[in-house]
Amino acid sequence: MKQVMIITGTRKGLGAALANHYLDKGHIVAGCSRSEGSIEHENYSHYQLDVADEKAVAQMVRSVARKYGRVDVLINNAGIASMNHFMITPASNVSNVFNTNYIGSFLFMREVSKVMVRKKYGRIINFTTVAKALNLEGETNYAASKAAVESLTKVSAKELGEFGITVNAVGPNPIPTDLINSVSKDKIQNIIDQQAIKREGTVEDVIHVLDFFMDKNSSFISGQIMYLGGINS
Amino acid sequence: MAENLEKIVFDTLQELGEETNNKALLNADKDTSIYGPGRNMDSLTLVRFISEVEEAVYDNMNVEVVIANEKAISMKHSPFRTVATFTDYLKQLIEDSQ
Ligand SMILES: NC(=O)c1ccc[n+]([C@@H]2O[C@H](COP(=O)([O-])OP(=O)(O)OC[C@H]3O[C@@H](n4cnc5c(N)ncnc54)[C@H](OP(=O)(O)O)[C@@H]3O)[C@@H](O)[C@H]2O)c1
Repeated sequence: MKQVMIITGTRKGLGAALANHYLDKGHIVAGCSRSEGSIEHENYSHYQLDVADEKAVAQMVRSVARKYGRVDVLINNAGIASMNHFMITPASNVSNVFNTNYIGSFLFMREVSKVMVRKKYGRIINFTTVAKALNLEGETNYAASKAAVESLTKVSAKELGEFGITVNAVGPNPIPTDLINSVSKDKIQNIIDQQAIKREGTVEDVIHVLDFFMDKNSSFISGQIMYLGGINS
Repeated sequence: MAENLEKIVFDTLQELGEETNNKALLNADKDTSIYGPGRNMDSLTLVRFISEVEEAVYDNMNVEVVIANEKAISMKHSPFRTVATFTDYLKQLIEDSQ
């Protein structure tokens, strides 16, 4: 069945690939990013906003809900990384990372939940990372912000369970996008060496997990964190 | 505006009352407790109530309000005590946002 989906961070990277994939499957997708959108499709609408902007997020979700009467799936993909030794990281950098990764996910969840409760149905999927599970050095704020997203996932799963809304998170291993452009080859290899299955990840690997969480039959699966590549926390 | 808001609040209470088979909400008047002593809603119904009122305010008045804001949570006297205190609080919120 046609799903009404909100996917954040759809200008490039995984978000763009996911949006295109679900559009190809015939679903309706509303996406957002700080810069102008990059997807042209009759079932796609783009909202230019910062996911940490409370008002803009509320407006976007309301506009999507009004247009289609419901939101079935939320994929909180927008995220930024930051690699730096924590001793030389400015506080502004901490705020930036937490604003996008945690507050952004939080705001979308809060607004979308209000729409989902009316239908007593919803699938929310957040993005974490193996950097959190592996406690990767040099990624204090990125990992900490995703730890916050994981707590958000687990706690909200309890608060939303009664409404037929599930909340889960996917934690990719390195997948070649701009996000990890600046990370050295050695460092990436070091992560891959710690995986049970030693290769880079792909968009298809992520989609497979999303499809599972999104499935109507996954109504009994909530509060779960699934890492790719055989990583455990 | 005050009348309009009152109607929004009572209509929403009515809707939730029907849905949850809650007589107190169906027969609500200004003094009916929402989430104060002798509360007539559990926390889940309160969440629904807040989001339905936000939506109705937007639909009827084209104003975006976030009802559960920092101020509401930290207020000494919760605005969610009774229908009357809630309606006053909502009126204030809308005036502040204009
Ligand atoms: N790639 C990996 O190896 C990897 C591994 C683990 C987890 N992840 C997670 O996967 C997700 C997607 O990452 P990616 O690799 O696709 O990153 P990416 O290529 O850098 O793309 C990030 C996307 O998010 C948008 N965005 C960033 N900040 C935003 C904000 N404040 N408001 C609105 N949109 C914003 C960007 O568009 P604008 O710049 O126009 O805003 C862009 O479309 C992230 O949550 C990331 O943590 C990725």
